[in-house]
Amino acid sequence: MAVDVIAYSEEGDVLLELVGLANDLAGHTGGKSFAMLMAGGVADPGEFGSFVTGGIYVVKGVPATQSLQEAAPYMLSEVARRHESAIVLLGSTRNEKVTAGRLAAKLDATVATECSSVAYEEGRLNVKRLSFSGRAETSITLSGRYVIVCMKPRSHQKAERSTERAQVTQLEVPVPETPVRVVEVKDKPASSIDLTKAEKIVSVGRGLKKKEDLSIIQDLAEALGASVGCSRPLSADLEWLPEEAHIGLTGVQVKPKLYLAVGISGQLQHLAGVKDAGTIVAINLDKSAPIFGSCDYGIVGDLYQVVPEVVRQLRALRLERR
Amino acid sequence: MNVLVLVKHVYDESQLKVDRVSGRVGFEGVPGKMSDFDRHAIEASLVIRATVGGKVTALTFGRAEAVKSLREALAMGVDRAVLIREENFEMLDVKATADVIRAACDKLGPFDLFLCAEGSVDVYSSLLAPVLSEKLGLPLVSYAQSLVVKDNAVVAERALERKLEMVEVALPAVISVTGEVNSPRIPTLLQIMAAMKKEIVTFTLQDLGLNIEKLKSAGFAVTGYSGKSKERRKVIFEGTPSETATKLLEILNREGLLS
Repeated sequence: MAVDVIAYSEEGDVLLELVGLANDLAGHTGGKSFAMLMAGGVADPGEFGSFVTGGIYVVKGVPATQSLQEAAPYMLSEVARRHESAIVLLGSTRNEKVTAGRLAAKLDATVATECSSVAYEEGRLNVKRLSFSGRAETSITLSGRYVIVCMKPRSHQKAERSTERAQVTQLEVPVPETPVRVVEVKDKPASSIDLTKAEKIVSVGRGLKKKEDLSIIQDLAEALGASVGCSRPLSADLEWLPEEAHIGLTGVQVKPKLYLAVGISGQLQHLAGVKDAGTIVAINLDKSAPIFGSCDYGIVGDLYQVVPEVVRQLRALRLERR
Repeated sequence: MNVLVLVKHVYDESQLKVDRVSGRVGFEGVPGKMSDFDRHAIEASLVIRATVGGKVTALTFGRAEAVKSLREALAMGVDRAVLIREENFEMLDVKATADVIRAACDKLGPFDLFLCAEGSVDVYSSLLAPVLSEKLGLPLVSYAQSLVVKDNAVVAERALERKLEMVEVALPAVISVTGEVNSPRIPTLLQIMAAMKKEIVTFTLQDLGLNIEKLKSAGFAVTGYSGKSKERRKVIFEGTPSETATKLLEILNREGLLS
């Protein structure tokens, strides 16, 4: 039985990565790769046809009073049922994890979220994902007629364009009226930078005493050419920085070359977000802080003295190089 | 208002025995704890009870040791604590877990509101709320960062990565909350002691007419754990700010991290 691979994401970049993965997997399953797009969504269907081998499904848009996470599961289950057997690939965004759960119940499929790698072997999909706040990687085997996997961003190369264009199928999927009404949508204030793409990050935690002192951290970030992130308390409890700056298990996971943790004790839930960082540097007053067990270089000292000194020396270095 | 709040008892991940080199992960003797995010769900249920009245039941599916988390829920102020006891609960996937919760609800309910955290701190799949809502045939408000119950309806702010959706739904419904929704209360010593004396209602799968072999999904298996991770150098500098800053910058410069 040929197993087809269907990719869907509301994020354009992620969708291209998923389609790249779908093409790889289809090479092993003996099936073809497909993508589902919302009409008027992230990609032009005709154009997108050059990325897949099987075909493109275009489903009609969602009413404004309905959340995507209400509509997408209906649409995807309709699309999946057109295939004898299929692997459905989604992103690991909030909407798409909800979509995965609902779809799994609708299709009686097996499902895993937040996956970093997948491989198809002998009718099974072997997936890997982090668990226990990043302390362990769990291997899971999924099989069955329908298998659903939510992938972490940047876990695969983007798809390459081919010269051929796969067929586009327009679908109208009746989505039942949902009792959950979206009465208003607000854009979150746009964050100046996407931390997941930052090469250097200066991150700050509870060691900072007041909001005004953020200027010390911003000076350091500027001197290094880095972006500013934080641990959960600073965004969630104190609201000194936007939620997009929150690095950790429930925030963003980052992969910078240099990560500088200032006044961050190093709770596991924070460290889960920097596991893949190149070099981790910690500045902390408390010598016994767990961050010193998980860093490459550390300075035991008062951030209010150490950080301005680092900034001063960085600026001097820069002048020397001129 | 009859509220069910879901609580998970997990391994304390900071106590896992992990060998960075061989990757071996040891669970034996690792103490358990309430999944940290669940306190926000419990707090939300208590706030709702304080506003509209009613009763809060905390439900856990897990090992006998999970009573520890239920005692904490009782100390925080839930009215009733229920354990569905199964030593091998981790063999089951999320669909089977939802089936167990549904069966428990048939016995304990009906409920107007099902509350849980956006995910558990151990697995963090974030799948239970959507799967349970499908299994119960109830609407889902996921990722609520604020919620108000009024006139048998819920108004909530659903936090997505780049936008907020203000949503309304008539009860009954399933709601998952984020850590932003509230600051959970910390029980007093007196409340903790009083909770030790309270009853914890315990069922087995058999009591619910279920069987673990039948619940097991043929297509889902956890095949292993690996704790392999990058060994960090842990070079720690102590001294005056000027000395330590110089040493750090020398190294970062040498590693090409200052360009």
